[in-house]
Amino acid sequence: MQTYAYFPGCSLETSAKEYDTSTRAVFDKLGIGLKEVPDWSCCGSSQAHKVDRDMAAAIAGRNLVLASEIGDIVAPCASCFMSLKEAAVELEHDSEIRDTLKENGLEYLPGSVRVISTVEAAHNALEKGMFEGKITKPLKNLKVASYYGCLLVRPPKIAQFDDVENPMSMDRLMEAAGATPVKWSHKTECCGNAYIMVDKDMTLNLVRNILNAAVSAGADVVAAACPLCHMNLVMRQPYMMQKYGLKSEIPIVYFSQLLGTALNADEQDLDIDGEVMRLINKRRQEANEVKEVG
Amino acid sequence: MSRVGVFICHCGANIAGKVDVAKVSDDAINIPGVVYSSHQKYSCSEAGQKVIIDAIKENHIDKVVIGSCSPKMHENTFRKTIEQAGLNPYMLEIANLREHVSWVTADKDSATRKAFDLVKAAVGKVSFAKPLTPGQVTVEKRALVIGGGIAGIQAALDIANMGYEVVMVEKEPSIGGRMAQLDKTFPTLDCSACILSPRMVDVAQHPNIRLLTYSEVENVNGYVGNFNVTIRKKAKFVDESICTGCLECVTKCPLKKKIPNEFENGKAPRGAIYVPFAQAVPKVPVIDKEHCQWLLSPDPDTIEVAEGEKKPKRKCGVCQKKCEQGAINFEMEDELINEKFGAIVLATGFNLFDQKKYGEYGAGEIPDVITGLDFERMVNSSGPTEGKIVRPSNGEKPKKVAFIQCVGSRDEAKGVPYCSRICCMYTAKQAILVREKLPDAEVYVFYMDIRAAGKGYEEFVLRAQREYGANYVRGRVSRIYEQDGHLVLKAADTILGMPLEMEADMVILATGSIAREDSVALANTIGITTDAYGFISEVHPKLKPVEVPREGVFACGAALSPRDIPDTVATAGAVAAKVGVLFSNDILMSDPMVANIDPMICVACGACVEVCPYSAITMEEFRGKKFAKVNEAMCQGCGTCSAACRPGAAQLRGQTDEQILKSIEAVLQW
Repeated sequence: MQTYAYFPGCSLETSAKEYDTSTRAVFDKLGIGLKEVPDWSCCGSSQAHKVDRDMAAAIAGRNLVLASEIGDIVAPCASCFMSLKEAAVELEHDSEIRDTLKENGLEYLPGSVRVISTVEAAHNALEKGMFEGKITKPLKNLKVASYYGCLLVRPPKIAQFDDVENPMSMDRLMEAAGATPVKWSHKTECCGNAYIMVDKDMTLNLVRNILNAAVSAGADVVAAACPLCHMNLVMRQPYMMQKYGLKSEIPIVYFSQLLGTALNADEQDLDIDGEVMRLINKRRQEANEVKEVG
Repeated sequence: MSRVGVFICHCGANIAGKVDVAKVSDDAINIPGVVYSSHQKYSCSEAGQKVIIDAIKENHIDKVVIGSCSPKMHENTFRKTIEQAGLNPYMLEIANLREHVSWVTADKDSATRKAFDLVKAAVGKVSFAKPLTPGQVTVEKRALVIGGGIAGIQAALDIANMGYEVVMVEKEPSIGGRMAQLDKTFPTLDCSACILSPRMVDVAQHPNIRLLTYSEVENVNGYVGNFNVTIRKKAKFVDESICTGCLECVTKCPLKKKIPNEFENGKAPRGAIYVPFAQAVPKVPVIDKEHCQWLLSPDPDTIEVAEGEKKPKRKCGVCQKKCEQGAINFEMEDELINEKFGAIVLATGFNLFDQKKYGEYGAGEIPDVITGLDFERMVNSSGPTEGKIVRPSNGEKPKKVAFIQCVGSRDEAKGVPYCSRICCMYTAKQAILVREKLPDAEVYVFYMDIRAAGKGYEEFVLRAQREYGANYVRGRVSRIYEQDGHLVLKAADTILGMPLEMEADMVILATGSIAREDSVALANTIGITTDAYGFISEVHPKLKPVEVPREGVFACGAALSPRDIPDTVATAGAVAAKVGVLFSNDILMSDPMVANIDPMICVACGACVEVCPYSAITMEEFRGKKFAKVNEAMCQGCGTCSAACRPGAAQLRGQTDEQILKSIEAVLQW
């Protein structure tokens, strides 16, 4: 069985537990092993590289060395993914940081670990045909706006995944899950990230634009692949309707929760909001009715 | 024993600045065989050549070594010099002391040492040189012009007007090329078709030009003055000799609204039988066999049916029924034509960058984001909207139109690094056309910088801005998306230093010029090279701008690099002049430095036949003995056969094994 080293990161232990459990459930259903990186530590996001790039590479590099025992490393959090991948690129070229790690008993062999996001890992599985026959509960009629955010495909020289301006991998995954991906304008726009702490006004304006674009495109839900994006998009929707001109509330779910639903994974692991589940079922029903009428 | 004379050139300070020329010259006199040695400021000057001639005569020199610049530069000059002194011109060897030594060596001592080594090698080699005499070949005074755009048209007309026969091959059903697709031309705003169509007709009617449309070049053999070319004349399924061009067939084709017309950049339909546009030359339709229902349906003769059952008939065939002339012939097949030409002109033009590569501009999926070429067809009165500027999404007049320049050009990340040279100008022209046709519409042009180098070009851009009120914004657009029935553009205004968000109804992308997708394949067929982008490589960008490395082949227009109509026409004229110069010779001298195979040594293994890139070697038999023979007119002197020949029968004249070994020996011994 193919096994990845799995790097959950701090968010998935706290604010985004459902992203963690649903990701594990999806890969379990696909027959892909996820083995948690033993004794993993902070990836350094999103501050370390602002303080000292070498330090950031060393902090993330520790995790790469630990992962190399298992294999290629997957990170569900877009921010972890980018920290680890940037470190892998730095370590490739910078022997000084490698020496620093070595002095601390961590030998890194350049090229020994490939860093990918869970979206990329799932998309690879899709391309290999590993979804075939496994979508037993398709998300019929559900209109999904796939939201990639900034770090999943950017910067392109580091991310090396999908079209940087018009990524389609998550859309294809949603299509494979039986849902209808909507064409929309804001799939890679910035959600404001940690700026919510610094400049609430700016961040909420950005979030409002993203959500309004999804609503205008006719989406039922927004699929996210980053705990930070998810948090920014989910919180304060009612407040934004009052003060920031948000057109209507829209549910935000992790792409893994939707995939897991279609793969008929354990409901407890997926931990989908009851209201979203009712919406999914409603759309399925509508699809069946149309079929019967047709 | 040879009597070798050595002449070291200072090349001003080019060589003398790095090489101790006096020392090299003094030492050279001690090389065995050298009877004379001197150094001079400019050997290539008239005075310098006189020194060489006098020294040869006074010292009875029979072989000459000149230490100077690259032989590419002056080998021919010095061959003529020693010929004047009464020597065979091939008794010369150049030691390249400039490109190979002074320009690339940092230290003076090592430069001087290397210069002396190269002189020793040259003396060793020239000592074994043998006199050579050029051969003679006749010139077939007919030219092949590949490509029927404005470049090919101009070249063909000029060559034909000199009195030479021309065959023009065009792969599309009509000549006209890109220029025929354009509405107006900058900076004069002439109607493109009005100035082009008469020349298209001239080509068709010229007694010296034979036009082969819907045809492609398949194979090119031979050499300058004597090319053998195979041309595939694709089946048109319409007999050109009887078709009157009434186009009844075209109007009756049931698929006439079904197939995207390439000429309209896919924005208007055509049928399976079609002429690409109204002014097409020749005005004879062709049947597209990829789409024609009759041709796609199975041949009844090949279908076996049970007894009593009716055989299925071919589908459709409406055009054949409607044609009063009986010109439709479904049995027509591709025809292969072999012709002999003295010169070949490449005028194969260019393509436009594909907007699909720009995800941030909607990857071609937002209907109101179109390309410059789409706009040319739209604004043209015979185009898909009959000249009306409308939003493709809803057919309404746009109130605000934005142009984005440098889409694909000057973009190393997604496109090509070079500037396409035409986009600044065609954008200014299109901005003017929008303001002329829709005076109420606002026009914005997003640019990186304006490159308007050309006669009247800068003035034209200023007119677009001042007279026509186009608003020029310096900055890139980072994203376009649809919102509430409009387009939203996110950009930067780099003059204000501020981000900018703008609504627009329509966006026109100035997509850059790229090489044709089949340019590399065609270059391979002809045996020439392309640059990293697929454009045809010229011999010298300044001094031989229309010559390509295969002698007798020339190129013009945008097949060489992106260029506008004036430059295209100018290079086409230049090509015609070059062809005229070539055809002014009845006989050409062939380079004697070609391969020769000694039949007494040859064991007929055939290795040389296989490796020869020019198919110049064949197997012969004489009195029962087989041996390989070089066609000296076809041989390009590459030496591959000589390297492959195990017994050493194949020798390149002027570069024999003996000469090369002697030059190596000279360097090692001394």
